[in-house]
Amino acid sequence: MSELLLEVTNAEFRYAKGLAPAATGINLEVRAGDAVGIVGESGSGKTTVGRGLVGSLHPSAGTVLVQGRPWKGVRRRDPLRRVVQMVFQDPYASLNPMLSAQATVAEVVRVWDGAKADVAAARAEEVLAEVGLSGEVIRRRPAGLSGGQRQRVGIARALACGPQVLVADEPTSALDVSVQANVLNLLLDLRASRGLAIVLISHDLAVVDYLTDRALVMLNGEVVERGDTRALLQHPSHEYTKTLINSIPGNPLTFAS
Amino acid sequence: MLTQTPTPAPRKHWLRLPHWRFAARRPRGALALGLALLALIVLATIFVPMISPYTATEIAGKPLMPPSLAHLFGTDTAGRDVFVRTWVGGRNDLLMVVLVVVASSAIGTLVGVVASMSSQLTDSILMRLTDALISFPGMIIVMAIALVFSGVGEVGPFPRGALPAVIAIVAINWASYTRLVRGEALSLRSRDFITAATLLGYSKTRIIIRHLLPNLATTVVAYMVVDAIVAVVTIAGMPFIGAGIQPPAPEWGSLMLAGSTVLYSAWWVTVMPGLVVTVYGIALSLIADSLLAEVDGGAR
Amino acid sequence: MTTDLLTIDGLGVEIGGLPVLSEVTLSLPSHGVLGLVGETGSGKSLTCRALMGLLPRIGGKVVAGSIGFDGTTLTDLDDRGWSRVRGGQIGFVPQASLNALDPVMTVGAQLRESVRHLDPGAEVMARSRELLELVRLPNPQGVLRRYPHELSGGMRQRVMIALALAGRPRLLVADEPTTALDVTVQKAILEVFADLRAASGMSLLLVTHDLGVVADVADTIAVMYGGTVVEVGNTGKVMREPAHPYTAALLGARPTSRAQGERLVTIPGVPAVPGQWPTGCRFAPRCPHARDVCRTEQPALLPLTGDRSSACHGWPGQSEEASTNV
Repeated sequence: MSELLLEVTNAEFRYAKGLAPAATGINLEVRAGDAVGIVGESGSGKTTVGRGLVGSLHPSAGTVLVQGRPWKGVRRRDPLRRVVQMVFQDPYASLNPMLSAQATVAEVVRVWDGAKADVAAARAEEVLAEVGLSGEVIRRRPAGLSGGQRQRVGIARALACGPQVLVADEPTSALDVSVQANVLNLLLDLRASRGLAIVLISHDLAVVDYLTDRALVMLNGEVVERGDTRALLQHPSHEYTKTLINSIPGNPLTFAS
Repeated sequence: MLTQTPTPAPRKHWLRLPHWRFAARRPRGALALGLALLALIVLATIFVPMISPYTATEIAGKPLMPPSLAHLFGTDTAGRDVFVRTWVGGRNDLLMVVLVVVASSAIGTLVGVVASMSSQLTDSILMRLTDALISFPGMIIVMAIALVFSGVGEVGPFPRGALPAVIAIVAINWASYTRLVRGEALSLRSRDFITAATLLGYSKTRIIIRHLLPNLATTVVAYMVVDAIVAVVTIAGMPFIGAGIQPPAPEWGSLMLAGSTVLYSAWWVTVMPGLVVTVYGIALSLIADSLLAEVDGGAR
Repeated sequence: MTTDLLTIDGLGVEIGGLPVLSEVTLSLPSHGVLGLVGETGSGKSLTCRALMGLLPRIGGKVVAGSIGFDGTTLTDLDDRGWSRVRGGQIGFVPQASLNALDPVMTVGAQLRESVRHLDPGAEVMARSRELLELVRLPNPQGVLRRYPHELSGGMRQRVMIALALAGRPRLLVADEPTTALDVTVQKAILEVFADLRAASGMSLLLVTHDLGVVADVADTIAVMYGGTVVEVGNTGKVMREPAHPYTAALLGARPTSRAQGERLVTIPGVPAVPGQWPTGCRFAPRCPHARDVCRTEQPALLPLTGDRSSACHGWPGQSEEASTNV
């Protein structure tokens, strides 16, 4: 079996001590090369789990282990941080408006590899080329880039420190259909070329179906169903999963409750 | 840095419909006009004293002569040329304004950014201090401090009484910047690119310097421009209570004060410097307006 | 041929001298549902605004073509004329309207205001309640007393639709009505539209970027790109056999169109943007089938067999093959 990168056991997440948990009873294993989907609508807790996976939010109960170590206590510059990185939903808020694409990616290299400016710039160019951006485009600031291009810069930034898991939180929801296709193809390619594991958080079942091998369905902070993606979508057992599938516009499959 | 003009950026141009509306209504000339007026004033303060046949303190003619070709702004009660006094005074005022604004913004921004990145406790303490300073009747405190220390002698290019006035103002003024910056910084912090920076293990210092400060710049600068107007009013108000720049060094406020006794007969002694101050205020307003439109239209 | 309720013919619009729409031709029969599809920059939202006479507000004006509605030429109307049409004849549910409700007025107050203004003869209280029932809101009496922030996103959207219906319009124009909503809520809203059409025979013009929504709800689909209409036709037929390369690309870009692991169709380049439209066909720079004529001459929207049309130099030849397969 391939290396266990992320192990979530019975985790519960709260945003503040007094508040009710945003997600409970979360169990998840992510191994190298996996493609897992976390599906749910707003308020389902899927984003919370995403934050938990990257160490942004510590569990109030249970554990989240990265390569066997819990996130708590991991220092700022611990090499463990390189293992998991995140791609965000909003292409307009996920990049520093003042930095060019190249500068954004180069900064990662400077911080993590201690590289000098010119070396970092060259390396940034390589990573950006990997996501399909090259030429004068990479010297532009986000304002001069389209939504799809910005998302790709965000992916490049996440890739620059050589992660093994990419947690993508609704990476294509804010994009047009044809642009979404570009980004999805890219994620597919990166999985193949870099052996990346991908955790895809999305409300879009079609996207989850396309990219992932297995998936969790969340409702009100809990996982209500999980399993092989194809099986889940063709033979759902939980009521909510059926409702979700039935609601997809233009979906030929409809399930009786 | 202030105006972002991207290379062919079709999407930004097209998507921002509200920006369209601003662009359609706001005359492009506003910023240019403001800058031009400001430049004129600054140049005048530099060059007029150099080429004027009179100095600011000598008796140049009969007292209270109306504006003429020889004395563009007329003469004051002692017979000094009001024109050259206005521009020398302007130099003093502008020097002080620059010091005040730069120092206040630097201190205030630093405190604001640090507060936004600190623990609840530190943040609370800093903000309570800031609130206290803002809620004090600032003008009065400033005046009091400046008055007490007005005797301090000349320091470099600054006339007597100037530095204490500057210090007094800055001591209270930085707090407004802190409020502004902390608010903006907090909202920036919640944006994904800051989360990304944290996930990438960037140090707090790096995040502040490379990610927060540059994005706060436009707002802070816009505020600085407005502050420059307020600062002039404060500085010009000081002579009225004997604080600030001491005579015989000219200064817009004291010039206007000096002419108040003869306002009906020799209106030019007060009005001419007053007009210059007004034009200065208009110039800065135009600039601030354009900057704020950039922020509104460009920030989202 | 029945006279259509809405006919847009060769519409051209400019904003500040910049052409943003050109040669937009669409028609919608009574009781019909038209899905207007396009990505960002396609001009679909602008077309809605033109339909509602909201162009002057963004500095736009009609420079070519006309819009005919129920016998009246909308493009000839002045302000007075428009205020009679808006709300009363054509109802509008704007984009991202979840925040379009006045936060300091109760839902009931806002509805009553609309009813009073648009439906003078009606019994205001009863009609307000009835409107909420039309949009399938549970407990209409309770909702009337609530403020917008007390309602969920889906409920607010239904209130927006109810408001648009206050004037008993014959045509409802909805600009991305389900975009910011969860999937299950989306479905409920689409069902509301289906109900409305069944109950009152109202026509619906639905603007969306979501092909799935169009497949579910619309009889006819019109695809826009670069400020113009590139294909029109029966939804089912167009989606099974598109007659324009852009439509084909859109359909192929959906994750549902390919098996897992198979690459999706992508369109190289960036969308055409007003002010930078190329000469000839606007899609040509990105089209895999572009020929010389495509780069010099803009294709007109020509009818194909079976009540469909397409604006493509390549397709009239291929439609013969397509029609034999239909």
